[in-house]
Amino acid sequence: MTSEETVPDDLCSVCGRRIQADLLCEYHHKALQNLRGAFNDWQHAMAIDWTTYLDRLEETEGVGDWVLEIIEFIKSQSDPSELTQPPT
Amino acid sequence: MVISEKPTAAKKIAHALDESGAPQEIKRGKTSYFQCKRGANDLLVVHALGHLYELKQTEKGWKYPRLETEWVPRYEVDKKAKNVKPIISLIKKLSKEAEVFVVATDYDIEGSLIGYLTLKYACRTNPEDAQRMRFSTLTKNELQMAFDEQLGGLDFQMIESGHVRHEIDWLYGINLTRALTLAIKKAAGWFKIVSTGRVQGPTLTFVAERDQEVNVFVPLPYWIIVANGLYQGLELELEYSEKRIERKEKAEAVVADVKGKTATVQNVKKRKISQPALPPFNLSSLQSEAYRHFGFKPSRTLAVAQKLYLDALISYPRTSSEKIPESVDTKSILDSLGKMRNYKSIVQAILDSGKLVPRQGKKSDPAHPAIHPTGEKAERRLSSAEKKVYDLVVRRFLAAFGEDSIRETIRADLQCEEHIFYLRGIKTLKPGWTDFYGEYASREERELPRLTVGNQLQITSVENEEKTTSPPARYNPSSLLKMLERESLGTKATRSGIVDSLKSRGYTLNDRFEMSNLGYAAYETLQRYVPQLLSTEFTRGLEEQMERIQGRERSREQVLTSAKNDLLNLLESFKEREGEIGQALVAGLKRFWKEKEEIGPCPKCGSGTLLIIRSPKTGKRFVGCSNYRETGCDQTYPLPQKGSIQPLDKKCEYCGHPMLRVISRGRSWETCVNWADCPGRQDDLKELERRRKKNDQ
Ligand SMILES: [Zn+2]
Repeated sequence: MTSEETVPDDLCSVCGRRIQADLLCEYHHKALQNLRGAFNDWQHAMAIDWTTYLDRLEETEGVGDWVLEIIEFIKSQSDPSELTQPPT
Repeated sequence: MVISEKPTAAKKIAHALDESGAPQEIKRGKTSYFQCKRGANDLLVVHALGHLYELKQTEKGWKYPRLETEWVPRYEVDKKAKNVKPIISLIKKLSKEAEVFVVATDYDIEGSLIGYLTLKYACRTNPEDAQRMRFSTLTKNELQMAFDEQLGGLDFQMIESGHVRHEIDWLYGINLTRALTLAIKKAAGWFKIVSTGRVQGPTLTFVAERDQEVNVFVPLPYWIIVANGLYQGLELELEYSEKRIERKEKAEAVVADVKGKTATVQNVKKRKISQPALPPFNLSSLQSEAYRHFGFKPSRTLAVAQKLYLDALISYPRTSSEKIPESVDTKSILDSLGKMRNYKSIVQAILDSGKLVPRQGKKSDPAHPAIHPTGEKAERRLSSAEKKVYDLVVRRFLAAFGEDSIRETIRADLQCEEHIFYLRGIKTLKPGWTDFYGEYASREERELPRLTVGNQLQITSVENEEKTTSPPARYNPSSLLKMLERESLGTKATRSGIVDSLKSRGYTLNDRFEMSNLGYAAYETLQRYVPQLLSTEFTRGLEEQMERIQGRERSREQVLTSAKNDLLNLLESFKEREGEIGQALVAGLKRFWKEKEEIGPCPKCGSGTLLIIRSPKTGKRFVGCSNYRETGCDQTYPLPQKGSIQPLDKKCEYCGHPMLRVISRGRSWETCVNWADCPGRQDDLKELERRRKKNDQ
C-alpha cells in the first residue's frame, strides 16, 4: 500500500473537485483567471514582474483563499507550463 | 376558559382579568392554571407552551416521498417535549367544565394556529364558536379592554395561512433531508443526516455566492495622498480631490508638486441638512440597530424583546409596523416614562414642546403597532441584555417625538499648483430628536476655522500611502437577515432562525458566514442536480402563494396541492439521479472530514460527526461526537496519545467503525476508531500491552 495518493485526471489539481478548464475546477479556474487579469492592473499601477507579484500577493491582506491556493500550486510546479506563466 | 400561549402570559392575563387582581393559582403536578372572577363569569386561565401539537407523517418509514400528515401531541415526535404532556391533559380535563372558550395567544400567525389546534385537539370544541382576545401589549388596561369590549371570532385566514406554512415547511424539510441523507447512505453506507429546509436553499446560495467572490478576490493597489496644512497656527487635515490614485508614478508626482508649497482657498460651500426623526421600531429595524450597537444576533434580540413583551414592558415585537396609531395612549406612556430617572428630562422636553404626535414610518402591519414601551415598571431585575434592548426601544420611541435635527456641512476647496484639496467640517446647528435618541444617534462633529476665498494655508507634510482594495464584505447575521427580508423569503418570525441554522447545521463556520466544506458539498450538489431548491424565485413563489391565503385569494387546499405536486416532481427527478447525487455528496463530505480532522458519522446518534478532540483539562486527545454540546451525544473513543493520526476513507472489517492510520516512532499502522472494543483487535491489544510492560521494565 502506498500513502502517496495521486489525483485522478478528471479532478482539479488543487482541491479534487471536478475539472472545469485548464485542469482546474470552476472555482480555482476563476481564481487563476482573476490572478492573471489583475496582473495587468498591477503592471499598469507600478513596475512589477510576475514572480514578485505572486510573492507580494501572498503577503497582502484580502487575497482570496482560492487565489492563495493557486499561487501555491503555481510555485510548486517544477517545469513551467503555459498555465503557470504570466499572461502575455 | 382563556387559553394563553405561555405560563408568563397566563399569569399576566389572570391578574389583569381577575376583579380583585389576585387570581388563585392552582397547581396540578408540574403545571398549573389560574381561577379568576370577572363579573358574572368564572374564568379558568390555562396556558400552552408554544405549540402543543406537531405534524407527523401518517404512513410509516424513514423514506421519501412522505406527503400525508396529521397533527399529534408534540411529545410524540419530539422526545424533548415531555413537558407538553401534563399541559395537554390538564386542558383536556378542565375544558369539560368550560362553556365558552377564549383564545388569548399572541395575535399573529403562529399564536392563532396554537389557539386553533388547542381548541380542536385538546378542548375538542368547535373553533368556530370560540372567541378571540386581540392585544399588542400585556398591560392590564389593554387586556381588560380586549376581554370586555373587543372579543370577536377567530381569524381563520391567519390560521389557514399558518397551517399551510407548517405543512409546507414540514413537507420540504422532512423529504429533502431524507433524500439527501439516503443518497449518502446508498452511495457510501454512512448514515449522516444532512438537513435542509425550504428557505435554507436560497439562504445558502446568498452565502455561497458571496463566499466565492471573497475566495477568488485579488486586491489591486492604489495610492492615497495624506497631507496636512497649517492655518493661523492650526494644523488641519487635507483631503486630496482624487480619492484613489491608480498609478504609483502619479502619486509620487503629486507629492513632489505640493511639498512645501502653499494652498489657496478657491471656494467655500455650506449646506444645511435637515434630518427628520427615525420612525419607531419594527422587528427588523430593532434587530439591525441592536446588532449595530450591541453586536446582538437578530435571534438574540428577538428572544430578549419577547421576554420584555411577556413582562408587559414593551409591545408585541413581531411586527412590521413603523406606526404608532392613535389607539396607543402616548400621553400616558410618556407620563409613566417621565417617572423613570433615565428618561425624566427627555419626557419633560417633549411635554414642554407640546408635540405629542410621534413621527410615523412607512411600513405597516394589520395586527400590531410599531414596537413601543408600555411605561410599566419592571417587576424584576432585568438582565444587562434586557436593559440594553429596553433602553433602545424607549429612546427610539421618545426620539419619534423630536423635531428635525439640523446639521451644517462645510467644504472648502483649496488649490495648490494644479492640484485640488478639500477641507471638510460638520457641525450640529439644532440637535432635535438626536438629543432624545442619545448615544444611539451618530453625531460626528468636525470644527473648521472660518475660511474665506483667498486664505492661504501652508502645506506642512505630504506623503503618498500605498493601499490595496478590499474584498466584498461577508454577510453578518444582521445583513443576511436583511437580504432575506429584501427578497421576501421567510417571515419576520422565522428569518432569524433560518440565519442561525446555517451555522448550527455546519454549513458555515462562524458568524462571518464563511462556508464550510460541508456547506459547499450541499450547495454544489444541489446546484448541479436540483437547482430549484436553491432558487430564490421558486421559494418566493411559494411564499406568495401562502400570503394569498391570508388575503383570501387562494384556499389552503389549492396551495397545498400545488406545493405537493412541485415537491413530488422534484423528489422524482432526485430519485432518478440518487446514485450520482450520493456520490457527489460523499466526495464533498470526504473533503470536509479530511480538512477538519473529522473521522466519519457518529454511530450512536447518526446526525453528529466524530471528531478528534483535545481535552482542555487534561490535554489528552480522544474521539468525540460533534453533537456533544447540542444534544448531549456522549459517544467517545480513546486514542493513542503519541504520533499523528489520519482518518482513512474505509471501515473496519470486523466492527464497521471508521479506520485511522497512526504514525508514531517511525512506525505506521492502521486501526479502527473502536480499537479498544473491536472484536477483531483484542489480540493486537494484548500484544501492545505486553510490549508496553516490557518497555516499562
Ligand atoms: Zn479546485
